[in-house]
Amino acid sequence: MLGAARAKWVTVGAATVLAAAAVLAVFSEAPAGLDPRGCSLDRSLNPPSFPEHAFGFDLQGCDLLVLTMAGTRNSLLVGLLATIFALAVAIPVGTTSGFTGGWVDGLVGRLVDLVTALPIILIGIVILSALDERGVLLVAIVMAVAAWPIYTRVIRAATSRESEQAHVDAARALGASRPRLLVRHVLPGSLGSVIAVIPPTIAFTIGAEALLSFLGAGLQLPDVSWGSLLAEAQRYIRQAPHLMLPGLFLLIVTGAFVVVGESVRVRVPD
Amino acid sequence: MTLASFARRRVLQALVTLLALTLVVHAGISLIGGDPVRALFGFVPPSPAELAELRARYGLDQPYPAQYLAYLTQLLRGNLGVTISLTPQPVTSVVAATLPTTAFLIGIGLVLQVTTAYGVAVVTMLRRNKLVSALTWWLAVAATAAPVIFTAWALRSYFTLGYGGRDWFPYRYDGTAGAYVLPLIALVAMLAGPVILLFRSELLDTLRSTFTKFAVASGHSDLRIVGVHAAKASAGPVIAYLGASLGYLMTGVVIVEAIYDIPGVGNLILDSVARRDRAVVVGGVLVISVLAILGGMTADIVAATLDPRLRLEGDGPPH
Repeated sequence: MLGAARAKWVTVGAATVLAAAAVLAVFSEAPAGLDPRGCSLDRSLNPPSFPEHAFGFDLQGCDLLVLTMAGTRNSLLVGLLATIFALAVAIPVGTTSGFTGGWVDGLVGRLVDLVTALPIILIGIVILSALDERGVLLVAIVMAVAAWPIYTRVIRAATSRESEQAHVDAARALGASRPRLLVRHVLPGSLGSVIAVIPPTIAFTIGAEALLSFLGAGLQLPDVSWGSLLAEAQRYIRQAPHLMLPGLFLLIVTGAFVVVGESVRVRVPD
Repeated sequence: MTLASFARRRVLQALVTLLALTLVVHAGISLIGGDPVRALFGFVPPSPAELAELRARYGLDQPYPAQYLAYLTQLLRGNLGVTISLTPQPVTSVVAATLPTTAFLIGIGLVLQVTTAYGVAVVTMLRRNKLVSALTWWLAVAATAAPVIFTAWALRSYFTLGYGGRDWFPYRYDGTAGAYVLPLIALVAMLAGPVILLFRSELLDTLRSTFTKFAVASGHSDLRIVGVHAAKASAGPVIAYLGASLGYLMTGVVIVEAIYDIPGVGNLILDSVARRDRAVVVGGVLVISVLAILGGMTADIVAATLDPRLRLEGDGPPH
């Protein structure tokens, strides 16, 4: 078990990392002198020099640290959009299914089982790599298709458990209408359990975006993400091992999401 | 519900999904850009007559719905079609040639995932001091968080010659056992993390319950209590997770194949996507999905065997 003290500072640390990443994502291109397009070919693949160019330069002679910071926006955006899309499907479907029960519930349950059994990301790679134009939105939609069954399953189980609680029975006995029962008495309790699932799923999404870009089925230039930077690094890693440094951002941010998720899971009873 | 009717329902569901899957993948790869016949020729363009003849041979001159129906009728007869190439081959034999390698990766990956998660979780419970507990927790979090793409590629960069690392393992797949070491490490790192975290928290719950006190009072050893009794009682959710995450395992295998140039079904699919060879793509995705679905069914049965509470209604006393 986590020691209570460690859980606390680890969680605070992870939350700080995420906050910093969010700030980067919003403001990455604002400060003067940090232009990701300020490149010069005579610095192509130059190794890191501290402190001003800590990540060195890429093939085009662009500062890799600035590029990585610029990539934060797209990487986080894919994670965020995919989560919003997936929840937009999962909350109504999962809630209806868990609250109504019966054949609707059976149908949804089976659908969720089937979709989770499929290699969605692989199918996504197949379809995305056949497309000529791929943007953040399209990649996020593929991620949402992969993520909605995870959320739906959790919400469905929580709703069905919550619906059997005594306070819901009491409200029903008092003559509350079904929509009122659902919104006022069931949802507040059931939505809590989905919160613990969100952070690790975002981490998974960000990693999957990196994967798609790495295999050439994700974002394309001029869109930069951590995955697309790693994909470029792949070709020149021998001459320039520092090209792997964007992976650090990827690791730290996905790690922070998983840590936050674990902390929430310990606190929210499921 | 009897086991037979349960199985019948699951098989029916699986068939419907696979049908939908063929439509999505086939249409996806066919309708969106790229001409598989033109892709056969390099910089020397073929004559229009040649192109027309090849298109007709593969039925590509038909409207799309007719093409899909033709594919489907062949599929229902168990025929996956032929590859689009200058020397066409049956897709079945192309996929079958790559399947053993992929099946090996899936099988060993799954076994290593389960044994690693079981071993780590049980050891953490037995030695509940702070250091071991903290270490395994961090390891599991790191493994869960690290995208497979990063682990696989980093391992390949540092432990093979190809990217200028140490010459410990072959850079290119050469069929030796050594060529499987790094891919399997990457695969297990990707898969075991979440299972360790889940198994740990389930074991903790179980060890707090009354039956553990009873087992302790009966004089069983700690190892037996944690490793057998508690593990069995905690296995249900873990196996459910394993069954549900098989699609994830399959994707992981494809990625690892792609990064390490292993000639399996995954690489076959990715190469065929590039050539727009739709019959091979759909065939490969179908085979992978069938494996995932069969694995999911097996997981259900194993979970029910280990935990009587999960058995189908009508099989036990009401509760």
